[in-house]
Amino acid sequence: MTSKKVIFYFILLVSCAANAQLTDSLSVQQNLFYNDVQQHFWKNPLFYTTQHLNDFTLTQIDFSQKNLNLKRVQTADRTTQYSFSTQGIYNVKPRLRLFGGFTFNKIAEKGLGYNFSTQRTENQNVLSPNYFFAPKKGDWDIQNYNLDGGFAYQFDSNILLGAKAFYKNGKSYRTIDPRPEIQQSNYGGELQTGYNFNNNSLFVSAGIAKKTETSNITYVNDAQNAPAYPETFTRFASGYGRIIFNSSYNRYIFNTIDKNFGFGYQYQNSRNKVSATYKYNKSLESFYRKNARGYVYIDDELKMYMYRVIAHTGELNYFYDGEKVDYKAAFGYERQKGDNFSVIENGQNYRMNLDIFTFSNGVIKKDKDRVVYAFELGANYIKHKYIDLLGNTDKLLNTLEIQTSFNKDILAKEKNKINLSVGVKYYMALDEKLVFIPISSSNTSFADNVIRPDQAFDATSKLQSNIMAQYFYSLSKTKKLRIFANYNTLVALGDQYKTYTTDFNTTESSYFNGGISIIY
Amino acid sequence: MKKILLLLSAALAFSSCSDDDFGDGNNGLQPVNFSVNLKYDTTAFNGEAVQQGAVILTNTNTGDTYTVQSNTSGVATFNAIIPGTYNITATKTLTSAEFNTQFGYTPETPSVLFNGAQEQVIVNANVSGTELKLKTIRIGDLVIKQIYYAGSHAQQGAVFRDQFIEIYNNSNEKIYADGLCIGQLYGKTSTTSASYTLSNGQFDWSKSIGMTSGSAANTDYVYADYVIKVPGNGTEYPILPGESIVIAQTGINHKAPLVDNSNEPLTVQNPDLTVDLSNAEFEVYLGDYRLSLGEEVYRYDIQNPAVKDMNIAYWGRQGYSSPNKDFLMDNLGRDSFVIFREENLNAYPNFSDPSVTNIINTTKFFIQIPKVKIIDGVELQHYNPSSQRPKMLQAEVDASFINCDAAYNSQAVIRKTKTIVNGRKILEDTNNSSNDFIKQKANPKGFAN
Repeated sequence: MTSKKVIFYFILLVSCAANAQLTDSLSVQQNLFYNDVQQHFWKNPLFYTTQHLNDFTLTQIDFSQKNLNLKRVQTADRTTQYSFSTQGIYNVKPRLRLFGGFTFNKIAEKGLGYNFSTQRTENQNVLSPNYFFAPKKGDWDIQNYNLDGGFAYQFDSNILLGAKAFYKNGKSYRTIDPRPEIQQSNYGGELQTGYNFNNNSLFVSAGIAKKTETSNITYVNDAQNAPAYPETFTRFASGYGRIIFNSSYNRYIFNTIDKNFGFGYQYQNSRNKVSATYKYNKSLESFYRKNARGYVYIDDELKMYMYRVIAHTGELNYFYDGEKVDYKAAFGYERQKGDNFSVIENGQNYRMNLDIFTFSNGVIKKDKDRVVYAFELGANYIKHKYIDLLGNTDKLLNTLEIQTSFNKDILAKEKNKINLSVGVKYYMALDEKLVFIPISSSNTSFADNVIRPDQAFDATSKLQSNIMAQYFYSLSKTKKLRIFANYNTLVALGDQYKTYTTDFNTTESSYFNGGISIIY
Repeated sequence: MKKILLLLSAALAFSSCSDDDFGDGNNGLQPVNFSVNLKYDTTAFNGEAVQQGAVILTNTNTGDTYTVQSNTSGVATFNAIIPGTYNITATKTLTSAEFNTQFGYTPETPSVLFNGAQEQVIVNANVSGTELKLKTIRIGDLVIKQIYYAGSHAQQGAVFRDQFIEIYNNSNEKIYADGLCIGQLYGKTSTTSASYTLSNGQFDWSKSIGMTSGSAANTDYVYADYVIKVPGNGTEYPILPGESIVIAQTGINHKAPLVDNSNEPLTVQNPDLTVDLSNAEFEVYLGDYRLSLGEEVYRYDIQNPAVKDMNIAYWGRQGYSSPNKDFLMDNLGRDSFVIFREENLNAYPNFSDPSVTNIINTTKFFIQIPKVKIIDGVELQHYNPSSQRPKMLQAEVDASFINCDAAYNSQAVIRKTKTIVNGRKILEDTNNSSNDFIKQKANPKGFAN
């Protein structure tokens, strides 16, 4: 779609909605269509001080299982997850809104190799540098607790004030040699303030967060940690292709400071809401080694490596709250730049550049509580660039994703409702290039077993299909029971992988998620 | 609106987009050129350039090695190497005629070997080269032929009980082993620098309490925590040319079941993993020594009357005995060994390591052995490159190091055979253990495959 057509479509949506009048409240739990609204609220609560979102509490337990065959290397073959979560929005007063949530999940991963970090390449093309690994696949047990909350308040003087805070805690460990064990603690907050005049809102925000990962890698049989046993020998990725030794494998700390600021503007009338936001985010991660006596702590003298990511994000959102039909449209652009630093070498060898363009829009038609249909269409265009000057890797990727989904309530009675959703996402690499020049004898194994297979995955056209069924049962006027099941598949549509490897698993990947929720 | 602008300004200041997170290191690391300038030692020789010397750079971060010959100016130029931390070794062998031409006199040996080494050398865009002095030391007539320190499988083999060292007569004359000392050296086990270390992370022994040798404490001596000595009156234990002696931790057949000093049976599930040391010439029995200290005999230090005991020549300063209960070699490879002769070992001083600031009851003391006394030395290393330690031996004694692939894997490091003359094997001895040794299954009296 050309940019002119996109702009025309957006203007059309706005003009269609400009004169409508209604001030009902929005129930974000009514349909999948409103997930974006809830996320937008969580990010920018000050934009919702005058728009009423219904109170809700959602408590859910769910189970998911992924069988990943068609995948990148540094991702588990199979993942099973059990989750408990609860979240809600509470309108304490017309001008005061509270929101928050709690999630606990327990994850069992089977068959994960080349990765001793908490990152996975399921949703990112390349792991951030500075992590330990060994080729041998192993199983992981992971537990995470997440707690977040905030408020948004409008003073009589029309000054807006909001705050968000979160705390995450996690523990991950691998059950065979080598045995990394990672304790993760992450907390932070963000303060927002703004001003509301007539139908206009302005806000500025600033936030800070700190993440600490304390890790160690041990062996029951330490003799396996030797070059003579390359499958279990622990090494360190300091870039994308640069593989080195790191004597601090048995005790190390990652400490990350994340700072952000942003601002936004919104115009809102009874039906329409248009907002524009900008956010700057800088994340600075430092790796600390153990000292001469084997102790590790956060001190500049022990700092070995750093990794910095700076992101600029701009978003444009439109929402039309109609009597029977709602529209939404969003455009986003994010520029991410990552670079590393080695204290010993006093220089950098890894650079990452991402340019992410996103576009999505949708329409939902409702008949009272019944969703007649909801349709969404979106596209993502991403330019990736990963360079390791010492690993001598140059990876380029321009990708396009087009996604669409449709859902409707196929049964809607007084107490029972069934919603069925189907969707597809098509992925293709518009352009891709991988240059890897081995200039040393130490890193060809990583390139052969990670870099090339991952480029094979990234270059291959794929189709992801999704079907989801939800059954709602009204327990009372304000209380609903929801039972849901969601099934995804990912299949390869092309054979572009053959450029990089002949031994590539193209068996489809599948994902199942099911659970039960109470919404009240 | 003023308030809003003020808040916005504060937010911008708070999260300002600074690019100084990495100090002045915002430069991309690229392969760089690096040169090593080789010179003969200025003290003993003329300090002139070393032509056609072999220089090896080993990247301590990756294990990558680069080898270059020096030119007529003595400069070895490495093009496009990865920035990082390197260990450098250099060797040069001069024939007698070449030596004479270079230095104006005829050496005692048919050839003279020069070695040099530097550790933890930073190579980056700001450091374009270094200078390396090459020194020589005599080539020993007795050499350390085999060190079996790794031991064998903990459940199926003999763990560490089967360790041994083998000494070989590499000359064409009979040599008596009587009085020969074996020193087990001590040093720091990490390359981390501290106020009491040299730049490569090794102890700066000049800072030990009571040390008066100055910088020579590091360049002219090595330090041992244990020394054992071959008994005899001077002519009791001959080693014929091409023959060797085996010195066992415990001189028994480790392939067979046995009962230890606690009367506990010891079984060996897989005899192929271990060795028979019942025919060793010597064993290290500490029972009598420990009894003299009022300590129990170690349960695995089994006395075999058929195998002669080594003398315990140094086991720590009197009153501060070092803790090992037997001749235990580090299975991980963090020991190094020297052989030397000294009739009056008590004349050698001993020192605590330089990290010690107050002497207490448990302080350990290490005997100072002059480098010039060393007949042969072998630098061992940890099998994991991430855990390697700084060198204990000077480059002229051993320019590099050798290690087994793992602990408890039945491997020994064993000297290569250089040539065979009239049926007598002459072993490789260039004072450069990575060149002189290989690793293979331990085999007392055996030779490298």
